[in-house]
Amino acid sequence: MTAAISAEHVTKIFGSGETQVVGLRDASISVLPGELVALMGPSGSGKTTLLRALSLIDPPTEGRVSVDGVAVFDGRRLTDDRALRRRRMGIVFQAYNLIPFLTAAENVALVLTLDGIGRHQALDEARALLDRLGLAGRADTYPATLSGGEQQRIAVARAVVNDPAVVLADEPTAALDTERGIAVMDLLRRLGVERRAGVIVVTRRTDDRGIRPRLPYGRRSDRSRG
Amino acid sequence: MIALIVYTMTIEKTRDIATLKIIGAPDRTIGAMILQEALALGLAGFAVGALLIQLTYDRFPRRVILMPFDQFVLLGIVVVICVAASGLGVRRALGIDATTAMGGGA
Repeated sequence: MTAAISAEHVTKIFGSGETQVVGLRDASISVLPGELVALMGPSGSGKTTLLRALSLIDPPTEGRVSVDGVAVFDGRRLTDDRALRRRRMGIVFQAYNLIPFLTAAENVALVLTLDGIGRHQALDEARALLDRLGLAGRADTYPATLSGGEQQRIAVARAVVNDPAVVLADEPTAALDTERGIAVMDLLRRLGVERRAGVIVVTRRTDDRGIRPRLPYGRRSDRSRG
Repeated sequence: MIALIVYTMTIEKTRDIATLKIIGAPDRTIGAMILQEALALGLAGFAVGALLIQLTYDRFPRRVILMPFDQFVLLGIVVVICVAASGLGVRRALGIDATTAMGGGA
């Protein structure tokens, strides 16, 4: 089976010369469609750095990244990284990052409209997804009036509405209590399986049930933080 | 003034713009949003100004009559000013580092 995302020998170096810092050294990972993998480890171990490298938000210095079997980085970008994230990736943020002046449905539809889908069709798809997630009643609500758990579930909906090959979640439960954190993790797992997307979750929590730690206490970077 | 307002609004939306970059918004979309914002500001100002002229021009002893053509030219000038004013905001927006939308963890 082709991996949803795979990375081989990824290294990320920040700065140069005497101020050079190795943020990530020779990391490799492969995630299958429908699989959820957690990146766990202490602060400074390079979890978020790896996520940024995989999404090409902050590309690796060395290494190779493939999405759905297609090489997207091989020492240099092989594709438009924003088009890649728009079409093949979903990103979930620690602080939800919903656009405050858009309703929940508009936030979810945003990824589709950015890719050229008409506003009405995008909103219809967004509403249908929110309905399936039990959030239909919140579709026309602005983020400021939603609870943290609701905002994160809507953010998860935004991440999967474009049927991505891979969903990358950066500490999605960090700002939530245990119960809501578990609900978000369950949602990520369920949607990953339903939509055949590989899911990578960065987490420091040990109470996120059902996660499968692939890199428990992964190799530390040279960065001393926290 | 429009340039300053647009620039300030762009700074206030730094995180949202970074989020847009992360979820895949192309630069042209982000630029177009800021241009629309500048145009909306300029056209709203033009409309309010035109309305004020209609409401108050006969209260002044010396009147300057603006013919439809003059108003059309003025509208064109407003549009040009808005486009130019958005440049600073667009430049700022395109320079925003996408990673600012993510957590600071490693």
